[in-house]
Amino acid sequence: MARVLLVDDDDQLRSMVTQMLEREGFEVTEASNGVEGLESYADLETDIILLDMVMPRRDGLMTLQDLLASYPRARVIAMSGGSRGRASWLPIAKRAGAVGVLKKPFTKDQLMDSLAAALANPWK
Amino acid sequence: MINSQQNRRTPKSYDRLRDLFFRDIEILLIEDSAVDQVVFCRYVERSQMPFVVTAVGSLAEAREKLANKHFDIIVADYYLPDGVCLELGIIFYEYPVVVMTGGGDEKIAVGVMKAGAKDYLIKGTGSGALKMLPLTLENVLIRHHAEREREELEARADEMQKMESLGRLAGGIAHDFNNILGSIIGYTELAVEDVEEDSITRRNLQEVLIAAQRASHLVEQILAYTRDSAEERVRVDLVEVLDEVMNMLAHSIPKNVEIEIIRQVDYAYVHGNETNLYQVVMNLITNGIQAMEAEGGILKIRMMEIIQGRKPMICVEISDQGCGINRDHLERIFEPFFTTKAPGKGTGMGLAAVQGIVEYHNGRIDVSSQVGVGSVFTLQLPSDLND
Repeated sequence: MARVLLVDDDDQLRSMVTQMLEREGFEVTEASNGVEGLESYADLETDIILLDMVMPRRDGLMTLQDLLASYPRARVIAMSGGSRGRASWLPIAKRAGAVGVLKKPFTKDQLMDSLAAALANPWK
Repeated sequence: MINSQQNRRTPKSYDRLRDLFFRDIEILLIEDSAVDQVVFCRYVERSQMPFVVTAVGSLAEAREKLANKHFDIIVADYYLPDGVCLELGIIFYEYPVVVMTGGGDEKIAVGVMKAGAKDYLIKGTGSGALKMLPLTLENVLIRHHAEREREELEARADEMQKMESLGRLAGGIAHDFNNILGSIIGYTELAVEDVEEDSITRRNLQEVLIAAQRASHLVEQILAYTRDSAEERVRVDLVEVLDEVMNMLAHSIPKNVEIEIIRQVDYAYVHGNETNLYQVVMNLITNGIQAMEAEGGILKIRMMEIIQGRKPMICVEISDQGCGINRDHLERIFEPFFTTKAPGKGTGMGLAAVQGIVEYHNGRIDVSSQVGVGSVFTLQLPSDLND
């Protein structure tokens, strides 16, 4: 089954998403900020990265850019609930190379759909 | 001599007032002397200005008339059978009032100006003041109009400032709030999976999900109201937007509501954010349908191009035959969180979001309504002139 790296600074949300994914048979690794996320990806090169766009330390966009600079084939799904005057990070994440986007709050179905679409994306 | 002067001035004044009012100007004359009423009307008529006079003889009658009809200006005699005109109190601040006094009552004149009157006229033969009547009325009306406009602009600027801070606040908490909602929705879904299908617990958990979705919708609307300017804008055809909205609604329109679409243009290009504009049209049409849910009726949607101050604008007029909106509510209808719907039925952000989006697109939204007859929302957006 596919391996997912989940990068989000919200502990409660992160363990919820992990539960959802594990129930569907995904193997999940968690990271709570961008720096940790980059380190984990270097070790594991998971099939997919679920990346929150608004985080302390290294923010989502910078993490995304760094990640794709080193690993152009990484499949990143950007997650965001909008923030700080900007209505949404998601169109920007798409332009920066994310294969999919997930608007928070999302349902389990939406999460599974976007994972399936990202895994099926032939361009990576 | 007097005549020729009048002739030269009259057409111009007529135009100035017409530009401001687009219609006849309603004067309420409060004057107990029948003779003075006739004299007044004669001077008004001779001016050839677009005035219509309604005359009453006492304060009580005046109050009754004012409660039932709109007037543009009040002309009141100082002494009336049931008191002095100052007893009209707050009316001096709601309407432009011109007070007439007898000769030699300059002290009274000063008093009425302090009370909020816009001008005064000295009656009586030889004073010549009544000859000035049309000019006085015209000046008072124009001044009053300008004052009101200024007040409105100030109120609008205030409102925009309030909204800006609300927007900053909303933008600041949106991320955290959506994360929290994400946890609520996600954990509830996990719990739903774990309980028996027909159990009460499951049904209750489903309610938690519905509530959380409502909260999420509310945050979205607040954000839409104070949209960030980095948002993507493209050339949007409102004809297509309308078609899409109608498709979306096709199955949810109640049987007693008929939709009539009058399109006077083939294309209606504006420059803007498609999602936001869709939200605007959707919101206005759903409101119209909801207003007629109980009694039924025809929802008329008219789309056309008009010229506003030399600029072509796309205009969408949505008129319903619903219950209408009373005057107090009409004033507040675009205010955030203002709703007349039952708790849980409306967020109070729908029309506020509409106004926010429309203003952000350099357009305007107007509403007129009559209780028991229906409401008309008029949306105007600048045409996109690029090919």
